[in-house]
Amino acid sequence: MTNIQTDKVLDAKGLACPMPIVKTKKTMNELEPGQVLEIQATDKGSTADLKAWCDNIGHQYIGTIEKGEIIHHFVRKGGEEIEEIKYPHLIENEELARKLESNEQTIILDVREPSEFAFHHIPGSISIPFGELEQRMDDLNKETEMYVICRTGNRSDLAAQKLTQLGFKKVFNVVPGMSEWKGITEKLID
Amino acid sequence: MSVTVKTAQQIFDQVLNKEELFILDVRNKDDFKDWKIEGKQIDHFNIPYFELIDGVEEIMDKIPSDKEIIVVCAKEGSSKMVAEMLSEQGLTASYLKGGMKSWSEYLYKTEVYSDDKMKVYQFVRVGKGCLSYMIVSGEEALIVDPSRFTDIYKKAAKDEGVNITHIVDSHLHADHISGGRILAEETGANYYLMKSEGAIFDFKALENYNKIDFEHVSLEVIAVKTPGHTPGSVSFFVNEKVLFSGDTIFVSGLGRPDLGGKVREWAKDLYDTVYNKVSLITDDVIVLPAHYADFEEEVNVAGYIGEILGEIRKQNEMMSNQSESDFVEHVAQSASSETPPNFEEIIAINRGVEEAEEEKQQELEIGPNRCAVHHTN
Repeated sequence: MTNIQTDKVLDAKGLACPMPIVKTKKTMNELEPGQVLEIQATDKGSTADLKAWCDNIGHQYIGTIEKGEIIHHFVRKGGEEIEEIKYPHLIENEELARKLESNEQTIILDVREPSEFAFHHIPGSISIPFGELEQRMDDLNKETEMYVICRTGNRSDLAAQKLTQLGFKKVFNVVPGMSEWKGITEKLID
Repeated sequence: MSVTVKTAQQIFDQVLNKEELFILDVRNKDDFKDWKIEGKQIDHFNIPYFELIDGVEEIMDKIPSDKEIIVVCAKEGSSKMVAEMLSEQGLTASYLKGGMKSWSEYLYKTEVYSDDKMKVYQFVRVGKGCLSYMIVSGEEALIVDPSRFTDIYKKAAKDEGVNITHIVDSHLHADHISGGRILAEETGANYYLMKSEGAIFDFKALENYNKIDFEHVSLEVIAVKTPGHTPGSVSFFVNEKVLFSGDTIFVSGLGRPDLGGKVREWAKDLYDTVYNKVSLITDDVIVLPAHYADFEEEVNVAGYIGEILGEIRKQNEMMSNQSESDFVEHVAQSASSETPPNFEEIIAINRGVEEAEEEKQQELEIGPNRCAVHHTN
């Protein structure tokens, strides 16, 4: 995997601690909740600090890739997520895992951001970020059963509602989603 | 108010003088939990720097106004930022130059012993709990367990007007990178190490030496060589005055093995060393170990880490009149499952199997003092 699509890229290369985190904090203020920032740094200590900072402040630390001297961090801005799940047709993680194990034909639509998908997803799942759903709905068959998943069930709730409005017939929201997924996963990065 | 810089040496001098200090440690909570600047008169407060980017107002009630304040971080940058913020709030604060990295690398030199034949200096690596030594006699010097900061030993020898001619490692270190090989290359000195420790470069095998003699010094090699596994640690008995005990006897007690599956074999070796070799050594001999756990607990009135054998015998009932099985049981129970950080890579470097750039070496060594943990794999 060479380039992972994000909403913004911050160049913090050559900067020593504390500047990578100071700049990240400033740049995150310019993003909307749910958007993803890639931080390119060379300071090795930035990984542990960024993780701890995200935990502290409520951002989602997605992952880090080291390519030669450059360290690429991916962080998704937290806050303002809708807590209430409205779409009525739910399926629990365990139930979906059973379907996968019994080799039923199962289409899983992962509506998280490309970077989240790159670090961790269910094998065979299709990646369409929530924001791109409408443009790319023609890729999908409206008649087949479809299991929509995100990290915690919120984005997939919105996605399931939208798909139903667009005429999809058999859509299920997977809860709680990837944050609690115990089954096999794969990633696109080394 | 102003911000000043303090070196590791300046801060350690304050620790030695038992000055009251307040250390604001702005590293990650995990790093702080792992290791920090220790001292009985030191108060700590840990909050990661990234929680202070918008200012220090929220922690001002945690910071005393009647104590000296030193801000520390991993490398320096964040502590400088926070010290400047404190200064804007009207406090006088300093920060540690080079951060905890420089603390990990600081060596404190002190004289241990002196007579008409030799002089012994101890080098205390305060951030890691490792000890190294220089024995000076005539125009020569012998270094015991050198750290990788070889310039320090070369300067110490130059200050004495002597040449380093012999270097010994009491064991293959798992917690820090030995300077033995580099120092031998730089000075042309002979470098001695137990062959059974698995090093692959050129050195003199301690197995072939009962004694190393130079000038007015006679150094006796005390090792228990059990066939089939590494002897672990060698001791050096010098001029019947000083015992460099390596990993076998510490000021605070006996060496403890790790859980490499050979705990009991190691303990039996230790029993042989203590009961068949060390038992012949008189009470007035000074024991100088390779490691310590707590500086202020173990430092003696003369200002170095070490103790006369008689005192160690008195404080440790395991040193005499024990059956082998009781002894082995006792030592085995104190075995630790905690290993020094990155010990596998450090061992590989010390064996000459792997190479590492200086920055990598710094990274590998940084972290808590788990020196007293032995490796037998």
